[in-house]
This record gives sequence, structure tokens and C-alpha cells, in this order.
Amino acid sequence: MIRITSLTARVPGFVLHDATFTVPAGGVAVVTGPTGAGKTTLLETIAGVRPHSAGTIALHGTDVTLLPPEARCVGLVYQAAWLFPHLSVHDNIAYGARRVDSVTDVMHLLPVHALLARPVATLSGGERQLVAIARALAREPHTLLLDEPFAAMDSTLRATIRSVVLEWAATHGMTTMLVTHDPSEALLTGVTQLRVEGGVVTQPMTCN
Amino acid sequence: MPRVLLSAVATLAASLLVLALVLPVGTLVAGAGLGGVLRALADREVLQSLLLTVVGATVATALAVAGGTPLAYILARTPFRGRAVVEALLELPLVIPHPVIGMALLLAMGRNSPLGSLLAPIGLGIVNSPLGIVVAMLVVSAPLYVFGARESIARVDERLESVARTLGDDRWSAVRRVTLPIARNGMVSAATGMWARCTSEFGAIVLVAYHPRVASVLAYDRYVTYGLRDALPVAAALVCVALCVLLLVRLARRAERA
Repeated sequence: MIRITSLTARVPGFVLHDATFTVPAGGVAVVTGPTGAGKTTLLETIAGVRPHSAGTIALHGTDVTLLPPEARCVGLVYQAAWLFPHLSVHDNIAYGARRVDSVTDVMHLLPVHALLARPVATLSGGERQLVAIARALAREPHTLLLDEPFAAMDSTLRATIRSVVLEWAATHGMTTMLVTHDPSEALLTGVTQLRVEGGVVTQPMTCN
Repeated sequence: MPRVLLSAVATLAASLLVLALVLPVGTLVAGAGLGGVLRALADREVLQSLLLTVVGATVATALAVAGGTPLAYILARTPFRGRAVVEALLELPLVIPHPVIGMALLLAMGRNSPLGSLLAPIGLGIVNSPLGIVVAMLVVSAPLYVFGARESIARVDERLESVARTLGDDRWSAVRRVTLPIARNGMVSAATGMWARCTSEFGAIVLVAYHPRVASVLAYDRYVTYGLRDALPVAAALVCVALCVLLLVRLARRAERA
């Protein structure tokens, strides 16, 4: 579960105001909103990589507001992937894995085998996103924070990977937040809808 | 201006700059000749001064890397009030005459200073000692490393560290496993530049530690005592040693990239 209460975060020239919402345990929240609205800031604040100035963050039943990112058990995937350029694809995926088996499992889940021997610098945008997703899943986080993680993939691969990742997350009890500009993702059923605009988070409805 | 003419002017300007950089040093080495350089290298005093120069520069660079890397990280990553002032103070040794730094060192750490009177009895006096040479090299050249390393670290996007943190690294581990390896080439370049600057240092060292003589001081001493002809082989030997080390560093980096 993700329970956010009166969360405020300030970055230069921008404030995320008083966000309050809940995502049920094992559920998915789809976050939409215009560019620059504060969606990435929201995810980063929940992950703990950006400081908050007020409010509380509870993940998986624990108040993590004052915990550092490494103690929050979150997986964070950026649109730009941010793979470690000095490591191989395999070492990127295994970077934070707690078990060898989890790396193997993720490699079976996602089509990354063909990429293992390639230098990170030669990967396309979509391939980078695949590796970044694999890296986050191999950590086996309780909370998965996805910031437009499929944006660079073609539409077929995108639908497949989205479905595989969300199913995997649900099977493993991960609570997921998915930032998207894709209308088909925004209308996913059975998810919590969150709208961010001008730093204000609203919860218009939940699709069932 | 036509593109061809612009290109010709740019080429001429670049060539003149290369000539201005290479001509004096090339003339110096040619003047000494290979035989002169080899004779200088066989001279025990020259050899000792070269060794002292290389070891002193290496120790000063190692100290700068040890202390300057955390400082560079803080300057690259942590916004704080007064950072411009701190950076200006750190950069000061690059813009003030080096004999002035030598004077400042003597005032702060010389035999008659409070700090010097404490350090001298335990063998840590800086006047006419290898330690003084290292301190002078360090103070004069460390800003080259600190600011070079800061630029290299600043070029590594902070989000790479953020991702590493969510993958289980604490701040120090993220820096050690992600930021420093990515910034390494730039930091090695900065350290090499600092090392080269240390080997050529004269102004501060000549005031703090005329003895034992580093190569630059020895070349100067021979010049004022015996004239240009006797100073030439020492100076040329110093140029050759510095050039060899710089070439080796570049070749090692090229081999690593291949």
C-alpha cells in the first residue's frame, strides 16, 4: 500500500502541494497530467531521492517519511532509464538484486537476453527502458514507481511489456505507480487514477 | 568573410599557438642534445633532484586526490551559502604569484610561526625539507585537481545516484560504485595535470625549500651559478621526464579505452 498524507515538496521554481492519496496494497495507480505538472517530483519524493518539506509517506504499512531511499524498498524507473554506463547490461540488471535467482527470473520475464552482451551505449531508447525495468524488478521492491517507462518502446512491445510488468508486480504483491501520457494506459481498468496539475494531486475516480 | 578564408585564419592561429608552445621547449631540448640529456641523467645530483621532483609531485598529487575528491564532490553536488566565496579562496593559488604563496607558507608554517615551532621539533618542519617541497607543490597545484574533479563529478547526472540509492546503495556506496567510476577519466586527467604542474613548480618551492633541490631549483641554481650552458641539460632532462610520464598516462588511458 502507498499512503501519502499532506505531502509537500519544493524544488527550485516549483512546489508539489499537500498531496494526499492512497493506493491499495498490490494495486496500480496511473498518474497523468501535463508536462511539468510535478509527476516526476511526486515519484522522486515518494522514493526519497528528493527531500520533502511536509507530510508523511507510508509504504507497505510502514512510515518511511524519514528513511533514506535505500531503506524504502522502492524500485524507480525513469523515462530516460539512467542505466549505469560503466557497467554491462547484465551488471546493470544485477546491480541491486538481493538474490541471484531474481536476476534469472527477470531475464526470463523480459526480452533482455539478446542485450546482455551489448555495451549500454549502443542500446536504443526502448532497450534501455527494458533494462531499467529489469534492474528495478530484480531488486524485488515492495513499491514500483514507473515514470513513463514504456515511452520509447514501439506500440506492440509497449503493450506487451506493460501487461507483463503489471502482472508480475501484482503477482509479487508490489504496489505500483505508473506515470504516463499514453491515453490507453491512462484508461486502464481496476486502477487508481491520479491527476497532477500545477503541483496539485487530485484523485478524480477509480476505474473498475 | 568567405568560409575558406575563415578556415585559413583559424588554421594559422592554431599553428601559431602550437609553435609558441613547442618552440621554446623544443629549442631547449635541442640545445641540450641527446648527449647532454644523457650526461645530465648520469649526474648524481641531477638524478636525485629529478627523483625528488617526481616523488614529491606524486605524494602531493596523492594527497590532493585523497582530500580533494570529497571536496570536489561537495562543490559539485551540495548547494550552500557562500560557495562562490569558498571556490574563489580555493582558486586563489592559481592566480597569485607563486613566490607570494611561498612567503605565505613561511609565515604560516615557517620556523618562527606558532605552527612551525610545534612541527619542527617532531621533524615536520617545512623549511628546507622534502615535506616543505610537498606542501608547496600541494598548495600551488591542488586547485587544478579539485576543480577538474568537480567538473567531472558535476557531469555525472545526479539521477544515476538516485537510481543506485533505490537499488540499495547508501550515499557513499552510490558515489563509490556509480559516480566516481563514471567521472574517473576526468579525474585522472585532472590529477595528471596537477602532477605535471607540481613537477614544474619553482616560485613557492624556492622560498620554502631551496635545499634539497628539486629539478626546477637545480636548473635555476646552475643557471645563476654557471650560466645557461650548464643549466640546459638539467632543464632538458626535466622536460624529457615530464613528457615521458604524460605520454605514458595518455597511452595507458588509450589502451584502457580500446
